[in-house]
Amino acid sequence: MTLLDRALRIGGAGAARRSGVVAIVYGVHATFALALAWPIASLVADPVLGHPRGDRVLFEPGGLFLTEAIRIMRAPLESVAEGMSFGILVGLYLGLLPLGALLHALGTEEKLSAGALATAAGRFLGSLSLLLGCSLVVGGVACALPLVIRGLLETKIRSAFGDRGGDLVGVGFHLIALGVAWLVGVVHDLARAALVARGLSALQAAQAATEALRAFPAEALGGWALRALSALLLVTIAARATTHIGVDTMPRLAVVALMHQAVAITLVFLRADWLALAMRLVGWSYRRDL
Amino acid sequence: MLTTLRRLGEASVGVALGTLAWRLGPAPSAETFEPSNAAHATDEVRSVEEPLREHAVDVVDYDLHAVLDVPQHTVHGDGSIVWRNASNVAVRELWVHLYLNAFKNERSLFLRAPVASGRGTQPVADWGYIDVHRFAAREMEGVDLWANADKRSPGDTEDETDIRVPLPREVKPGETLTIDVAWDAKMPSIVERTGYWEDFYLIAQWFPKLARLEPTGEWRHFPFYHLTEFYSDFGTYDVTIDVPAGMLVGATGIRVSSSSEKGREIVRYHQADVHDFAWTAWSSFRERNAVVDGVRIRCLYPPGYDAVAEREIAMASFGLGYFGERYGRYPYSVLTIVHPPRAATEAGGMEYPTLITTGGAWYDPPFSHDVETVTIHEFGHQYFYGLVATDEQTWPFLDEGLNSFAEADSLAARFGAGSAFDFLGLRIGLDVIYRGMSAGTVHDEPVAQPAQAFAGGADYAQLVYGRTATILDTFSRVYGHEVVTAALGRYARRYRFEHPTFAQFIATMREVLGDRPTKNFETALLDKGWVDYLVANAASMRDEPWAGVFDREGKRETVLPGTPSGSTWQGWALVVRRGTLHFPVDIELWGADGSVQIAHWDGEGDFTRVPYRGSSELRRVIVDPGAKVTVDQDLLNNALGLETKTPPWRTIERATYAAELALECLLP
Repeated sequence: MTLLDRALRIGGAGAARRSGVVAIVYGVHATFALALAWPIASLVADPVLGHPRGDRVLFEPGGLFLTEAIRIMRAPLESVAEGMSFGILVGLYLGLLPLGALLHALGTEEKLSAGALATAAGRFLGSLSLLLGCSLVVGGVACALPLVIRGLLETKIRSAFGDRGGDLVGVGFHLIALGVAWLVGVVHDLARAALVARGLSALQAAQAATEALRAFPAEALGGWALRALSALLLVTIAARATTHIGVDTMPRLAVVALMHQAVAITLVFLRADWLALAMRLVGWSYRRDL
Repeated sequence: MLTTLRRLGEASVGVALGTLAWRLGPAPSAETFEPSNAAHATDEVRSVEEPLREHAVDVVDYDLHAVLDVPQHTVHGDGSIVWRNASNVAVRELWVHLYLNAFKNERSLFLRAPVASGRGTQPVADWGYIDVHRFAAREMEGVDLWANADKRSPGDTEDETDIRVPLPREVKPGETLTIDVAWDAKMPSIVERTGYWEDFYLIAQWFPKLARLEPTGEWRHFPFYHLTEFYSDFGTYDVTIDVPAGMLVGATGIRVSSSSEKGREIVRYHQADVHDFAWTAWSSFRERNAVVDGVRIRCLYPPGYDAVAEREIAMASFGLGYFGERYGRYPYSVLTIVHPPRAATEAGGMEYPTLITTGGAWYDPPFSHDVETVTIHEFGHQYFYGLVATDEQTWPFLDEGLNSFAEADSLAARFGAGSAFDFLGLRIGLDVIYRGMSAGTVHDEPVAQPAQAFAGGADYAQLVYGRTATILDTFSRVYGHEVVTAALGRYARRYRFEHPTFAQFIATMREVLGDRPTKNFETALLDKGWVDYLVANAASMRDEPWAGVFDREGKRETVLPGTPSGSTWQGWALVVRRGTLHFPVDIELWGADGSVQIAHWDGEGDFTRVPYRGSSELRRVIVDPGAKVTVDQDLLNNALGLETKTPPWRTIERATYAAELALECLLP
């Protein structure tokens, strides 16, 4: 069994053990998504509800009614979207509450009460918030750097490599930025795990995360990447399948909705699976240092 | 306590940092015709197919020699122009277009035009101009006429693109002049589909070109306005091009010879029955060839664009068949497709006789059809501009507008409902995009007006391209696709190798469509015609006897309100037509039991009240249920539901799932 296999099994086992908490996190995410989506959906679709085919017309080939609805509702849609960007930021921080509960559950062997989960959610909010803020700033700056360099060298790159070569070099810079974001994301998650598992401060947790990544790079990066690729594959397969099924009738719509929610809960499970692994990795790293 | 304070402190710092990152992110952007008549018309059109002219009437022949001086970005030209007075009037002057002077300085009409968007907005980094050194008619003792030529365009003290050359004597109808010319054309940096970038050249508007003399003896000359295109006589072009060795050349017409000497490549091109000549040269061109129905398609493209070149050739091949069937066969034996390098993007998306330029990135995904769209659009111009050589300055919609309809029509035939975009179930048609882009500018300006009369590039594009295509699309849906393509086909065949006017176009449409629809057509084009059908109101009630006190057959009877007398329902729907256009439409009345009653309205008058009688309550009313009238200003008010609205479950489901996916990436 390779280290990677081991990492996958550990994560899977951890998340499966806490399927109830995973379901709660999914419920929170789904509720928040519905709260965001409903007003936009109503803005776009309410004007066509008088049509005999209802909002089905929005999904008809050619996109006549979809583009018309967006054209006519463009101004309110822009206002709503702008307003929602603040809501998403708030959601980003409120989302730390279920995350704190999930991490606590994943790091605890014994059975947990609802009260214990709620307490854990509140207890880690401050530190997790600090980590999130730092991660956003560090990630943003680190990602921007390769892109800025690319922008400065654009003309030289293009005259040296031509259109296609220049684009491919540009893709390389984007991949570097993406890689940096990935690295920051992995360290961020490891720090969260360390923070909850060992009760560290945000700074100490970040240090512990860096040490864990240094000690187990294949398990950490590989474990994260495998889950991300699995999620991407799942979403793509679901998109093809639901496109094929369509939403012409209510039963079809119900099937599509079930498939979509199955994908959504699986994504949450994969995330929990990764976090369970992250907790284990910071634990191993800590014990090794001892 | 200390721990709590620390946590609160950490939380507030974290929130502050997150808010900062959020604010630093990108800000949201602010920004009475019966169908039976139509069927009859189709049969008639099919049975009376216009014969195709084999050749144009030859009016002006250019025999030119061009030497490309790469370090100076200059073309040294000389040769002769044989021009015949094809009008019925003797003339004492010639008009010469020197359109390269549009890029000579910032005081040209072109560059000082306040056009904020559209083509030709790329700043000129290196000026372009044309210096004529000799312009001598052999029949007039070989005297250089250029010395007496006006220096400026008429009525303008600064523009040098439209030049009058007085003649020492009259040139009678039918008389021919042979004019020896010599000139230097300094090419600008790429702007408005001509110029250079590094050693890539698209060389257009590069020689002294005679304006067209109408049969009435009126010269149709005009300066190079910002949004204007071109207009000139048919003739034969024989052009020898001399470029440094290693450059690949593409040009209007057929390559009849090529040779190499002293580090130079010398190629000669010849083409009859065309009205312009453009060429390109680049040391980095790659080349692909195909032969389709006897036409050699030659694609010149930058390195790394092989897949795009294949798509362009495939689309042009399709166009040869599709356009050939509807508008007459392509009469030339060659079609050259030029895909400029990205730095010369503004050289793309342009048409010249037998030569078109395209555009798009090498990685353009096949589902977006951008490459195919620009290719078929420019190919379509071989018909609506090339063969049917209308005055593009006076009536730009006759080439760009008709061609945009033909382009969307052919793309729909090839790619179906997702003719513009087709990915993971989301299919958007180009006709829908044209509709969307034109809907916002309908009330601004007429469609059919001279190019320079438009307020700006946006109005020009949205009305000339989008609105014309949408008007024709509506006619196609309402009166029949075959009827409209037959009308356009008759027009394209009848006026092949000619210069039809707006009146001749309308007359051809009238022959096929009939008087009433053509009047509608004229209103849409000339008078900012618009229409909005809507269901204003509707109601139904159970079939009840009239309430009140009635003396019937010697008895007094009191009928109380709400007394049911049967199981039928009666009601009405009020359908309104706003605007100045009239189209026949269907109106559907849906009962609660799923029954549908269809009424037909000829679209005349401001409104119609449609009666309803059915076995259930009236639930919904919709006017134009098939959305045939795509020029309808607001399609969302075409339907009215009388029941309590249920949430739009499909849209909510899709939007929620999309939000869930986004949140899985964003949320911790």
